[in-house]
Amino acid sequence: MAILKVEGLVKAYKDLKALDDVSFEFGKGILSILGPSGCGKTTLLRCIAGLEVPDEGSIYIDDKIQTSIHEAILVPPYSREIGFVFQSYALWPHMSVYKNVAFGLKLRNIPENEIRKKVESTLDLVGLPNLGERYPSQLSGGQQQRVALARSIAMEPRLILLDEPLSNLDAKLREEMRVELKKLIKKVGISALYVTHDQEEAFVISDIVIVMDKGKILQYATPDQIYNRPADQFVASFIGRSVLVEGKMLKVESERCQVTVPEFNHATIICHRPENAAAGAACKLVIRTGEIRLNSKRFDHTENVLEGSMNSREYRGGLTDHRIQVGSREIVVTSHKFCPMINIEGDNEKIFLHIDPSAISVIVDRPQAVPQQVGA
Amino acid sequence: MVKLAYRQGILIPLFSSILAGSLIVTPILIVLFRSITTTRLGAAAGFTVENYFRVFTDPQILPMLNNSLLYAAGAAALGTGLGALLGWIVARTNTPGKALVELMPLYPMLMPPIMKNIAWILLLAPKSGILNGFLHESLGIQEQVFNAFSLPAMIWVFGLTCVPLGYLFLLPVFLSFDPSLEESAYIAGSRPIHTTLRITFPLAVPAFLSAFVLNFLRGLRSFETPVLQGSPGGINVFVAKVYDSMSIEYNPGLATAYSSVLILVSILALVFYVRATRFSERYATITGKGYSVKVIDIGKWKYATFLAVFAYFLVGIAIPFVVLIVVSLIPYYDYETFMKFPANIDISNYYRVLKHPSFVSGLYNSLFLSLAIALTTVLAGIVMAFTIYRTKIYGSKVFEFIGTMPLAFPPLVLSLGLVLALIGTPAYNTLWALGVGLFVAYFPYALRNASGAIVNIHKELDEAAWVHGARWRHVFFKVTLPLLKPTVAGALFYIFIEAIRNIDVAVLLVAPGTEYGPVTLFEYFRVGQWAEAAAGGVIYLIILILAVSIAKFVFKIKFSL
Amino acid sequence: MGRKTLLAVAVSILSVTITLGSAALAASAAADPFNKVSNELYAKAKQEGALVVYSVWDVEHIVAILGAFSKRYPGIKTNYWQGRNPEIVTRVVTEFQAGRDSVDAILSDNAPPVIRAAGAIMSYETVQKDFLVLHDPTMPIVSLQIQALTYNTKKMKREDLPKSWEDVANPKYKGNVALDDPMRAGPLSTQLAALKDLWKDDARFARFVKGLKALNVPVHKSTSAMFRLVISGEYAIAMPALLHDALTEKEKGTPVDLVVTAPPIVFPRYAGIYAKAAHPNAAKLLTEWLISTEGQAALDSVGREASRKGFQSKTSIENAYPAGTKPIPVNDKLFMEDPKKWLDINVKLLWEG
Repeated sequence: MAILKVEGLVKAYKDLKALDDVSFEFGKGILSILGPSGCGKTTLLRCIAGLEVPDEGSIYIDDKIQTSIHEAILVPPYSREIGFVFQSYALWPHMSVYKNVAFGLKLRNIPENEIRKKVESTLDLVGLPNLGERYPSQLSGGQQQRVALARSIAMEPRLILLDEPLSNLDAKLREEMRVELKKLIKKVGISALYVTHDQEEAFVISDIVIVMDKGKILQYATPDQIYNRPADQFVASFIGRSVLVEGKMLKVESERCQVTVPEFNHATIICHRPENAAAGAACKLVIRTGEIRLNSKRFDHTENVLEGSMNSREYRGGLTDHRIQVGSREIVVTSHKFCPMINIEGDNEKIFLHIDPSAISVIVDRPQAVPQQVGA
Repeated sequence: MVKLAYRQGILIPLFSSILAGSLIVTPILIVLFRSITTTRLGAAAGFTVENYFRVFTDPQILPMLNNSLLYAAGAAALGTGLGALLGWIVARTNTPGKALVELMPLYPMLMPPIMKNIAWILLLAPKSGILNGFLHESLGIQEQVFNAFSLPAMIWVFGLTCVPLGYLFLLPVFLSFDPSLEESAYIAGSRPIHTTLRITFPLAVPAFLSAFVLNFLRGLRSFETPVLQGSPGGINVFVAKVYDSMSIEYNPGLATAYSSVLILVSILALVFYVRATRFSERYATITGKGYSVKVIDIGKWKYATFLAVFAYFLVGIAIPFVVLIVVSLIPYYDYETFMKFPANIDISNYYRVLKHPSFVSGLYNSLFLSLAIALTTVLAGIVMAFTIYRTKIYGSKVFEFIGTMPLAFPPLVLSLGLVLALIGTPAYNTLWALGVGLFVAYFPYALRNASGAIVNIHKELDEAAWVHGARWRHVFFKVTLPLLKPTVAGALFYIFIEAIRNIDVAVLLVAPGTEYGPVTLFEYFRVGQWAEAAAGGVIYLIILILAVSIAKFVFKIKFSL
Repeated sequence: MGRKTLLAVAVSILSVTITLGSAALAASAAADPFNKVSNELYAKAKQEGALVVYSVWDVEHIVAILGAFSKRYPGIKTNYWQGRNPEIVTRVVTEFQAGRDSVDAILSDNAPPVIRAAGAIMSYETVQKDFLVLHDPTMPIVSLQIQALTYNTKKMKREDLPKSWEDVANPKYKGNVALDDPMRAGPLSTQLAALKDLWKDDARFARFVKGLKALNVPVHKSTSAMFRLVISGEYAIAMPALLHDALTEKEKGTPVDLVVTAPPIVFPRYAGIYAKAAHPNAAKLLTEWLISTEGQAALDSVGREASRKGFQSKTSIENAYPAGTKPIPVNDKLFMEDPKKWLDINVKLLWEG
């Protein structure tokens, strides 16, 4: 049974298509919608909540119809039994924490003592016992975040929607909170839809990730699949620090293929074979720089080893960014301080890069390009 | 549209807005219709464009309109700007004497605009004015430095009457300011003054424009300053044409046709406002992130800001008030007699005002109606602003225009429209009709105030309520309204004060035998009997100042959250 | 004259001590047409039981006058609405066109002739017409608006004064004259209508208007504010002022005085009876009473000028001006009923050049 089903959602603002025929289904767990700002992910969330009316399409929660433009059905937000954690938290500044959390419960005409119990247990759950009498302005950012979550959880919704809930916290707190958030949601057992532009956050938190751009769903898969098998170059480039280079397939084997890359001095790179591989086809290689190994000396083997020269380095505490010139491209590779291979001090020194095939995603250009290649 | 509204559960605000909108638009449509079907004295004439033909072939119209625009825009800019500055000083700085500083900008509101005209004419008249007389007698300056009968003096005096709106509209914005918006600028190395100019003021744009448009339209149709100061200086404004159409020609159709020029200007002003504030999310200062408002330590400048507030207090009320008190206590005003005070004290004016037959009896009706009108218009204004900015009803922006339209009509024209709309109903000649008239007259103030303020509240605060099970009434009464509290307080106060002393728009709806305070007590202002007006005004001001001060401290009225 | 004054006093005393008996009233009835008609009207008016007045006058004046009327004629409930002339015209004409009957009598100067032109006045000729300074057979004239040429005694020496209205247009008064706007329905346009009618000389009239224009002074749209500016010394001559304003100020010691060589200009204040009046007899009774010596005394007590010939008061022409002064009346029907048209025909070209 799908907790959420979205069919053919379209929403346009003048010329801009915020949602362009979006359809997906989602069972239990945590689903992330990942994409750059303006990709339509917040619009999608707001349509699901009933805060926006799409131009076309329908939305079902728990198999019950919520929005259907075709059938002229629009369940108002207050009847959808969902939770919503806003980017700005949207805590009501004129109400205490207790009143913020109790707001929705009071509207359901639940007896006062039950409300009290529910609010207190929820505040305990999010780790904010005894703060009920405080006002939002007296809380830290992280605490406000928890209150916003508590307000939604207390309603025991069918689905909880979170709109970049961590983006207002500082980096350290954000890392802590995302783990905690995941634990909490799992503990309560509510399904959640999580919108973010942070790939790492999406991967940590969710069971399934949807990558969106320009109003379209590009990929719907588990974090692992998205990382290792990005559907297209956008997904590939968006989900991690990576370089994109153009290449041409030289030879296609059963498991692997060889690609020559003009920008890397026409070096030949061995990759996993994509499904639609064909010799002579133009393709793009997305190389995740985090998985590139560096060495100041030659590696023992020569496969997939490139030679470059160090342009500059930026020291980032435990990590160091190396700017390395390979052929006509500059690649930024980050190394950990315990990485023994890097002991280069000066600039313009030689350095060797090893790129494992697993660090490369191959995207073959559209098939119609192939005959042209053959003809040439 | 209705179906969608029903689905969204916002039928009630939609219908309330439509009801308020039709109350306002009906008299307007009636006079517009009559302007193409009637001639002098409202005589039916079939379809005729003669009225409009006369307006658009009138050679005087352009120079007069030019004067009007200069005067209205100048006064609105001066008044709203000064009001904004005062609001910022009170809300955002550590200026000493907080309680005093917060109140001082409010008192000038209590002085009816025409009292300011009289006082400033006495001060600035070229030959007989107190200031020129003083410069002449004490410093031997022969030139007439000040001239009450000039465009700058008109802008100055009407500008002063525009200050309270600017102050009341902007104070709540500055008071509810998320300091992180400013702090990020400080961290980026910006000095407080730059932060204020680049961060604080731009965020106050919707409220500022709302007050500016309101003041501008008030200026366009205001008649007291042009009559008392413009005409003797040879400065003729456009609205005089409308008055002439009514008072020499008795041709409401022609007056309406002339008003159509004002309608066009109003629509342009509103289009400008709607466009300038269309990205309303940008202006949210009240957000769902908790914060406590901090004031800026402006160092030594705090004494300068104190002096600025005090200076406004002086020119806004203290000096004109003192002049009027003295004038009300001397047998007649000329410079010599004025300077002899208090040797020549005479209290007969007070005696005359106090024994005025309806001084007390009219007060009950006025207090009751003004309070009722203030509450109704402010509530309706917020509901309409809520409908415009917080629901997804297609075309709801049209309410911005409808709700502000009464300000484009000179009072008597609108008053006629109201009479025509109500004369066939049982409400005519009852207090209800007067109530409707006052509602229409003051609704634009309530709407502009609410519409300027609602965009300062982050939309997500409302939406959080929607998704957590709130219907429109819960959203409205538990979230929007409490968050608008400071603005509501200001608007209530302003409309109450205005309605209690000015019923120009509703005058034709006062039933015979209804003693309505403003008509009677403020008749002195209407007929320009200065000494009695001064005496009446002084008594009125003393009562109001006491009432406001007591209310402020007893009920702890605050203009912040 | 003496006999009439005596009679007035007698009537006043009688009215106050009305309980003395109706026999005394009946005795004086034959002497004055008012007594006879008022008895008839009062009987009918009592049946009507109410009276609604629209007026341009100050509220305290209306209240005082209606108070005296109610005291004299108990059983008639009076109500009033106060507004400015354009407001009165608009309200009455609109109510008339909609068939409403809210008003009975309209006490005003400019408004009644305009309302009459719209057909909303019930024609009524007073039985006391022989006693009136100005008479209109369709609307009783209950009071007068009297214009006086007035000056500030500190700012202008007696010997420098203009001798007549016409003299004000002399270029030597440039910068000293506070001029009412002749193109509005104000006192100066009224004066022009009166003088044009008096002179019956278009060239002289044109010279006068052009002379005023040549003074090159701005014009005022508020009579009372203009008068204050003359008192304050901003200007020396008020062109024109109202007689009762000038006399009230003079009495207080304000440095203003009349130019008595310029004869006063008199304009009627009417009591028009509304065409659809619900209480026509009460309205007629009010107008007759206002013209009676008793009503005139009530008007005089609030500073309104009497319209009755020979009525002795501070604001009467006989009192303020030398014997033999002939007031200049306004009779031009077009001016009264459509001032805009009259101004367009007679003044506009001269004034706007």
